Amino acid sequence: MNRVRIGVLVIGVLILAVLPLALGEHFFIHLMTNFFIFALLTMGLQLLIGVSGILSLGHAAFFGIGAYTSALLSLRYNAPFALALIGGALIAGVFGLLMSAIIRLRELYFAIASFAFGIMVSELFAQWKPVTGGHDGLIMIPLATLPGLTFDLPSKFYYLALAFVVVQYLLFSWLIGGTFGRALEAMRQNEQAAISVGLNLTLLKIVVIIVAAVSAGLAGGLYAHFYGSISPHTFGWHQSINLLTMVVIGGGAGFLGVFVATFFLLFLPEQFRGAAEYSTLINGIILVLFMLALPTGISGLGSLVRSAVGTRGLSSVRLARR
Amino acid sequence: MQMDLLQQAIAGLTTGSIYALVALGFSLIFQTTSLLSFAHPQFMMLGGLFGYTVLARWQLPFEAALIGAALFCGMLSVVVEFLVLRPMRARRADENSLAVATIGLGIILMSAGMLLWGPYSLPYPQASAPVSWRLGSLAIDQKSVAVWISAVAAVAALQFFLRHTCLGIAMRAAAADPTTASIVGVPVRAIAAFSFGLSGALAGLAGVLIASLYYASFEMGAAGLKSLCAAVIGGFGNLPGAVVGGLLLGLFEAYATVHLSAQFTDTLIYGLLIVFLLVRPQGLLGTAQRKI
Repeated sequence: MNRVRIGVLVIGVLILAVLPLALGEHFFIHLMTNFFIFALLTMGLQLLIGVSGILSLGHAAFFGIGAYTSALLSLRYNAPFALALIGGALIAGVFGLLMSAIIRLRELYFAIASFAFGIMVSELFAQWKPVTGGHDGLIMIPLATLPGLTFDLPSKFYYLALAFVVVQYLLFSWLIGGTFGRALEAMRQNEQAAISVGLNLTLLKIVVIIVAAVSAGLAGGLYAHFYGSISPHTFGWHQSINLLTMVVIGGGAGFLGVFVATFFLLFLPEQFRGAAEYSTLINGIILVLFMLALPTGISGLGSLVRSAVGTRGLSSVRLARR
Repeated sequence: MQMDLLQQAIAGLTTGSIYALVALGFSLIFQTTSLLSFAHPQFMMLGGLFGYTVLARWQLPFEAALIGAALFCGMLSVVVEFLVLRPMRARRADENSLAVATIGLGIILMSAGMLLWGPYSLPYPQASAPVSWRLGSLAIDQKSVAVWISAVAAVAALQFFLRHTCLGIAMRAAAADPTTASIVGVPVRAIAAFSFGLSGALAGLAGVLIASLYYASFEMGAAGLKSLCAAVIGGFGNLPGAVVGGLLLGLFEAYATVHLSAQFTDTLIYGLLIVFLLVRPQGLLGTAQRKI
């Protein structure tokens, strides 16, 4: 990270941090907390799609697994919030590990499998009434508490979610910036070349899938305890498409671009009634237009801006410069 | 009990043959273009709705609905390929990007179906009271027989086309090795468009058949997506595999609905897909592939 970016980030976080002080318990604070949770999700999806070139069409399922697991841990076993959150992330990670076995096959097969996984999981949420509450979902999920702290107001939960976004952003940036990130970049650009320099691509992909699944699981736990109720339609195919669209729009500009896209796709339907009604169609049109317009397709998202800014833009040159 | 199982087998083979038609399209497209088209089931949906227009508005016979829907969806599929997927492939877009584009296309087609035909389910008009024949205690209704005959005829025609016509053989050549095929003069790009048309036509046919059993609706595409499971079970890209996978999926679904659990049937079907990809990714009829 260069100094300018660090400066922008610090100022951005500071502005976000004083926002509740200025606005109080405004509805906007509620919306922003929701945005933070979705930012966690789209960051994970960007790590998969934009950075690693792995197409996941079932990201909302991991989100849902985290939400339902943590909600059930709180409701049934009176687990403290922190434990419920970790439990949700862990179970999501286990399913990520299971699904990652498919990545050793052709890329497209993972897309198919993740699509099927997404539908299977949301169907399970909707049908497994004794456990998940069926279409009605789960209600009365207890408030988030940490020792000495109760997140009973939206403005308090706002800080918790913001902290998660900042930590995950720093973690992901560190992951991508180092050796691991260079290996991912090499893999995305040329798999054969990456193998020939001794990279274990399968292992790389498995790690990325598990990291993304865990982060989606955490987001799910936060979501469940923020809203206090969850229902299956939040975690279905439409949500996965929604997240995919956010990453496709913003992915070219890295995580910050994804944040901006996530923000707009969440807020536009809130502002315009018509937009909510047609949001699925709008997503469809966006996906087609972006795929037609992007020269490198989705897996090139991560390097699009960098190559546009750089003088040569050749990937090989960029690699050599490091 | 025995009769019970047989009765379910009849129901399973009926929906299974429809799944097979849609799965054939998935595999045909994959064979000739290495593309996973999430838009494909929406052609089944549009076929079902177009069949409704032919039958209810234009009051034409059922055969006209079948042929009309096949032509309509076939042509539409070619148009979609030409407008969106061809420019992307010309740029050598990777298969993930193409898959994402087809997701968008699927959503657009579904919205078009809803805008043109409305959000309600549209049952086909009945010319006469439903006829069913009895074999002992077994009941076979006319609609199922019509589905079987149409599906078998479509598969036989496809088989004849691929084995014994010049265009069909060229298509198989393009699927097996596009580079070599283009060297010996096979117009590979035209073949790709044609395979889209053929897949669309099969899906349109399947749409009319499934709507004749239940009803036509803009949401039918979700049922068609299950054919993706059929295609994977049989071996993705494997045409006989698609037929076998479709029939097996239909049988499994009919059996699971009654004997396992009606509400978990879809969960089980998609779970089956994942299990196959984990354990036997080449499908039932496929041979082991290289890892790529």
